[in-house]
Amino acid sequence: MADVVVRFENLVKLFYEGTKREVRAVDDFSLSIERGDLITLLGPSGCGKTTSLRILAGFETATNGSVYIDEERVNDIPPQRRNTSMVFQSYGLFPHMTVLENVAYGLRVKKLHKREIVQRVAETLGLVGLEGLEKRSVAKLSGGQQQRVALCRAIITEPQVLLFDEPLSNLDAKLRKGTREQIRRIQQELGITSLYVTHDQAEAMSISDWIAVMHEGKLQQLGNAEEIYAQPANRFVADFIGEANILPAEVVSATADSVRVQLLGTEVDIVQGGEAFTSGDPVELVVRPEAVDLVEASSGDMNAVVGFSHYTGSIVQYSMILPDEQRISVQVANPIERGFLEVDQPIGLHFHRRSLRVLPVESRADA
Amino acid sequence: MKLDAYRRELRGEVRRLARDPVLLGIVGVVFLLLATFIVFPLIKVVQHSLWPQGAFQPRYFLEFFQKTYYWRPLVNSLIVGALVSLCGTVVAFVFAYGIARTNIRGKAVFRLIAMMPIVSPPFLIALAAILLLGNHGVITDALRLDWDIYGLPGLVLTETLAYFPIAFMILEGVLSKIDPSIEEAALDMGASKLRTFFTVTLPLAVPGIASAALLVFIRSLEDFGNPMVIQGRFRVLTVAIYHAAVGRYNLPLGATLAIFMLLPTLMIFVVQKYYVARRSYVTVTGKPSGIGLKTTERHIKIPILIAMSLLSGIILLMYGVVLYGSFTKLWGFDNTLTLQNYRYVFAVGGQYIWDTLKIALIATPVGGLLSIMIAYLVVRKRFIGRGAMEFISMLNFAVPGVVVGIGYVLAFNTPPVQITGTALIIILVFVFRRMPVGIRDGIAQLQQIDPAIEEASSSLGAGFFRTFTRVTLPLVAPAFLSGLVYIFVRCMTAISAIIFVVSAGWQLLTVALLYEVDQANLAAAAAYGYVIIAIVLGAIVFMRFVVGRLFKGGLAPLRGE
Repeated sequence: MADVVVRFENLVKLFYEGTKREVRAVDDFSLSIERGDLITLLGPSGCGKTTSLRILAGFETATNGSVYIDEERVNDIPPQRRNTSMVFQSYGLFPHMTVLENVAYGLRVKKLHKREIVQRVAETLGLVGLEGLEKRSVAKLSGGQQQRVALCRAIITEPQVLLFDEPLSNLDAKLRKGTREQIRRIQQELGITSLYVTHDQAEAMSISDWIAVMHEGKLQQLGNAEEIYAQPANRFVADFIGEANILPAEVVSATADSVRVQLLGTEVDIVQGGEAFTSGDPVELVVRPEAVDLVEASSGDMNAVVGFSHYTGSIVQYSMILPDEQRISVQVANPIERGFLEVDQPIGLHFHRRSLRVLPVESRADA
Repeated sequence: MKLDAYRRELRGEVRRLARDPVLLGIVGVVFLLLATFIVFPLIKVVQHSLWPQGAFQPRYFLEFFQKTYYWRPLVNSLIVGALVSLCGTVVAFVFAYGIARTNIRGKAVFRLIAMMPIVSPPFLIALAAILLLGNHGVITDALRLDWDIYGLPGLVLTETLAYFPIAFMILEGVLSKIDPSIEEAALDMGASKLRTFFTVTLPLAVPGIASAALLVFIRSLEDFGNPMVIQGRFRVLTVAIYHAAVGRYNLPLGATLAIFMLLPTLMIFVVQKYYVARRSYVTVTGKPSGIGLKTTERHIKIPILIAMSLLSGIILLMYGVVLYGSFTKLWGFDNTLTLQNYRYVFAVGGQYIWDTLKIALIATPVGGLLSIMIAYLVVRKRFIGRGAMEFISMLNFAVPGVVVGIGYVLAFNTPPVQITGTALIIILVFVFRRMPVGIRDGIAQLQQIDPAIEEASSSLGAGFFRTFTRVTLPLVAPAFLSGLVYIFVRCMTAISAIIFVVSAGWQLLTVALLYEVDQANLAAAAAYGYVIIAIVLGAIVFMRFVVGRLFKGGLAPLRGE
């Protein structure tokens, strides 16, 4: 039996705008977090990820369903009596207190001895490289430093669950990368079970043990970074994670470990379990821009013409026009070595068999 | 189905409230207080009007429409209110435009002068008007005028001067918060400055202007001090209520008139809160919105400057004449200078000064804490009845002082709460009369504080009480302290509700002032006025010093409402 620390069970959260309009922020959401894991809730804004996090923290009440922490149902327990700590997007530091007072706050609530508090604050600040800044007013710190003080304040009470609400979104790009590595290092060192909310997929993929992709209040897919990218469960995940060309196709035949589809008159074998498909099914083919090689015209799976290109340094991105006028985006890395293509130049496309993904066509009503 | 989910949500809230006994207790106590000291007196007013002897007998209610003597004061009040609202808003707009949107000099001085009616008893202006324009007034005598300042002209003059500062503060806020890029866009598209003013600036300010006008209207309608001094034979409703209830001790009549006072003010309140306020275009963002377009054209600036100077001159003249009057032997007859009035005030009124100070010093912190507590509950906590709590506590904003006064007389001279004649009833009047402004300011303050800061506190294990005292209160402290100054000032200057609940045992300075005016002892009245002003200014300076020492931001500007 796995050691589950947090469990959402059929969670539903409705918000009311007046008495008329009802918004389903979280819709039948279930998820378990095992001890020591960091799970990220990833999704666009309004997908219910922050609401789920705040329900776990106790700041929002669930309309339906249950939340368990260490198998105790906590729905009716106010935030201050839950052993969770949150790192807020806006940091939520107490502006009228020093670094020491901020970090020590939770320990003072627990009425620890003053000497122990000071010592533990110093240790914790040391973890994030802020040693010696105890006396500083938090208002005088840089954004990155404030963020780390907020992290210290949250971890010092050794919570059962550590919660992150888009903690890096107020930092600039360079700082963000460094801080997320630091968060991951500390989380793993201390082995704190964590729930992390972000809309930034690179952040999610680099920091998490597991990623739960959410959309419209529902869990779309739970998997590690590789799974949600390479084996998206549905069109939403395919589209949201990374860039994807989604092309209509038809199943020709399917076996236990491959699916043959027909795409614009060409048949392609794709390495993927085909149990769910039968011949003749309309499907959608997910083609990542980097999953296509450019070859001589008429020597690949399909011919195309270069529509336009744009160069961003490490890669060049082409919009290729397929025979049926559909466009497909293709990336070529290190273009300086490989050369550039001209607009209107005919070209052959070769699909990577292992990185394509076949999805059943979703009925419009679900979308 | 939807209703089911909503009920479930409510049940969840009840369960959580039950788990947070401190919060539950505080919510309960607040509701009990609101019910007792806001709702109950109003119920008593209605009860005494319609069920005077326990049986339904709306005699005065019906007679109100038949007897000119009863309905005339209401009409008069509405006439005064409309005129004062019009004049006050126009004057305030000129003042606000001059300060917010031009580059004239001496803005600080103009602002200070405009604030003077706020730190003094408003009806000091009526006293000044009599000293200047009354039967033996300076101007009357000098120009040998034969006129009567008592009545409509006097009321409009004094109330306009007394209440335009409220409108001025609203309009200054509105005009300075209009995003200059909107006006720049108009200029950019080729509109002249005049056209921009009429097609962009003014329309954007309209909700603010309407708010200001309605507020001044309410203030004029419920004004008691100025009419008491200067209404003459032009009887207005507040004074009629006082005469009915206190003069003739006809409480059912007083209560009935109070209802007719309450109806228009409540209506205006509802219009203001639910119609005008929702139409506001001015959004307060944390973003600095630039310096704003300042009018620099002389042909606009100079007329504005002249108008502002003229008005400031009148205000200074009025305060000057009261100051002068307070040093004269017998105003209008023997103008030799003397200190006898102040000796009189300290000898006869010494006890009043102490009583007033004691009561103000108790009411101020109690009212301030209660206000910020309610604001905190309303903004930050979710519990059943939160909307009702906000509405009831703001209700007194719309209830005229005389109605509150008569309500307290009716509600608290018999058990279960028998406190007539005590200091407590005066303190309670102050606390609950001042709460709406305190709550509203508190709400505005709290809304600017990132909720994450308090959530961080509770996420770290701090309960309601610890979070409130260690985190919330320190963060709102500067605003809270300036709120205290406001309450204190109002305690020192208020008259309308208070005059119903003072007693031989507990007298207040404003009441003494009014008494001296009534006795035609104008010089002594003037001296009382300046004692009040001195105490108020002392308190403001002291608080500025304290807050300036403790907090970087300093004291927030004084509120006029």
